[in-house]
Amino acid sequence: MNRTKWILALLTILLIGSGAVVLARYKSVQRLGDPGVVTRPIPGSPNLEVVLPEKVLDFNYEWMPQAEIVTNTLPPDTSYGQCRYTAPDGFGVQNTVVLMGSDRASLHKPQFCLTGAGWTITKTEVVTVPLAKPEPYDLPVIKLTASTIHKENGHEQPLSGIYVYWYVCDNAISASPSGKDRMWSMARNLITTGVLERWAYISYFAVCRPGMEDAAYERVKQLIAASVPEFQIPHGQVASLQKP
Amino acid sequence: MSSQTIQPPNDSLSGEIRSYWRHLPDKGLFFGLLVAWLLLFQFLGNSSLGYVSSNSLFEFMRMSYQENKVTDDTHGNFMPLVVLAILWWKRADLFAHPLKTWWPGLLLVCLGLLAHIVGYVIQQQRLSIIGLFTGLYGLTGLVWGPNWLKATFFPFFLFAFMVPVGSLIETVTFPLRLAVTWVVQHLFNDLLGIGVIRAGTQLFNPMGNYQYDVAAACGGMRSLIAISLISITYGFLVFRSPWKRLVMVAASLPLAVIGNVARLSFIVAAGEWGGQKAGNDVHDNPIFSMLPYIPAIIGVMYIGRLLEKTEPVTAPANGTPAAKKI
Repeated sequence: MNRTKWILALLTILLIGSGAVVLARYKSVQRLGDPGVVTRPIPGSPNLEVVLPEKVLDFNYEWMPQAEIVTNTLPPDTSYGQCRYTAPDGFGVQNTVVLMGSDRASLHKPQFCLTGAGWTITKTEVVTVPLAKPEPYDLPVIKLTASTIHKENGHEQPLSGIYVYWYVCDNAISASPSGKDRMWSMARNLITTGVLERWAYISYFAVCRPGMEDAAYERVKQLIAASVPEFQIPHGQVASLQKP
Repeated sequence: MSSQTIQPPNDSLSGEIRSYWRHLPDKGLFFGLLVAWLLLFQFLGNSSLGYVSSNSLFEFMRMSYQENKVTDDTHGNFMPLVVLAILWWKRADLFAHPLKTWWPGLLLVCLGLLAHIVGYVIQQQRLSIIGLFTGLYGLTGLVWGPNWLKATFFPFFLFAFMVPVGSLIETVTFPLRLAVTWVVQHLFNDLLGIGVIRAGTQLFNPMGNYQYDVAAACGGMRSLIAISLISITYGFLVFRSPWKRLVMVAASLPLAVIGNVARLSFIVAAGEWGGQKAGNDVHDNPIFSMLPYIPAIIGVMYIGRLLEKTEPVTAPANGTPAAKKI
């Protein structure tokens, strides 16, 4: 091998070695950010439990365990909170929070899960829910209207669903269906501060009869307005990643 | 060291391989750098340890290529073999020009390294995988020069299929799944007069005898990727015209729909006449699993032949038989 090739080889090895040093250094300073939801430790587990309020308006609270298919699919350091709120007239809303761990890919979009479960999404909207606490502001959310046919004992019953969701971390709220602003925010923070924003996915899901979607959404909005201030940390217009 | 046109022995494959191997210059330099490059991705390749608790990008890739119910990137396991096969097919082109070290190849290695550093920092393994193969391409150019890079561009481009797309491809395959179920529903209801109900990507009959869900791995992605790969390879190896290559690539989507409609129709027909189990048997049957590919491959060959015939034959000045430019 002649002198030129030795120089090229050395330069390349130096380049690769420098890359390794940069990556190793970065790995040693990276840390996970704080969650944007209220949590408490789980005894004997490195994970957290998202604390959802038990007393909200006149709803009855029922804690729900996370489905095994979810816990077996998502990374083991993912944390959860799930419950069902039932009104005296039987109107029910399932509230779920998924809090990522060290893997940003823990959070998924619900569109494909819903449609895979037999729901047809008929409308996707980015709307706001007015919240009064801790300060008056409009919470940006993504509202999905869906429909399905429920079969039971040979009978078919058409049903509608209202699915409302958004994402929060310790200092930001995102209701972008594509997730681009959240991805950009995470990337920017990782590069500039070495902190991995710890995002949580919050959802409310209610089933109703066709034609009652607007009424169901109004009740979900009331539930959101009453319950979210009890467990969501970021608030106010400045926290929203959505431009008004 | 430069290379020269090789006349390999044609008595055996192993003899031919040995001949090309002997004529490949600076093998020690290349493989030494390759080891350093791969070690980087082995020990500092993956920064998110949630789904894959390993620092190795190769382990991440291996896990990504495993079959599961949500995504399907199993084709990633076969791409290195496909690339090697195409490189072997084009071996004469690789050695047709002098091979020499070329320092601008280092710029490609830099680009690959930068892509990996960014991908590592922001936990985007797909970017790191792009960086891996960009750097590998750069190393071959560094050692064997620009002629080698030009000759190997297309095979290396196929390494793009080793980037696991996961749920990203849902934006393409989800409408594909809906289209397939819609076509099958109307095929049975309107043409055959057999009642089939569609709800999202699910198909079932009014009596509830069967219910099938056109899942992500079933209804679209697996065949779409494979058919796209066949179309792209055919287009790039047979044609030089950019628009013809584009036509071949664009044809993969409708061909995937046709193929999946055929398979789903067989499953629903079996369910209609034999119940859920019969449809499941058709679904699980390996022969019926190949159904989407038959019309697709026939379609690729047919469209390719049509495109070959579209170019006018140009007559050369010296009176020899006209050559067709494709």
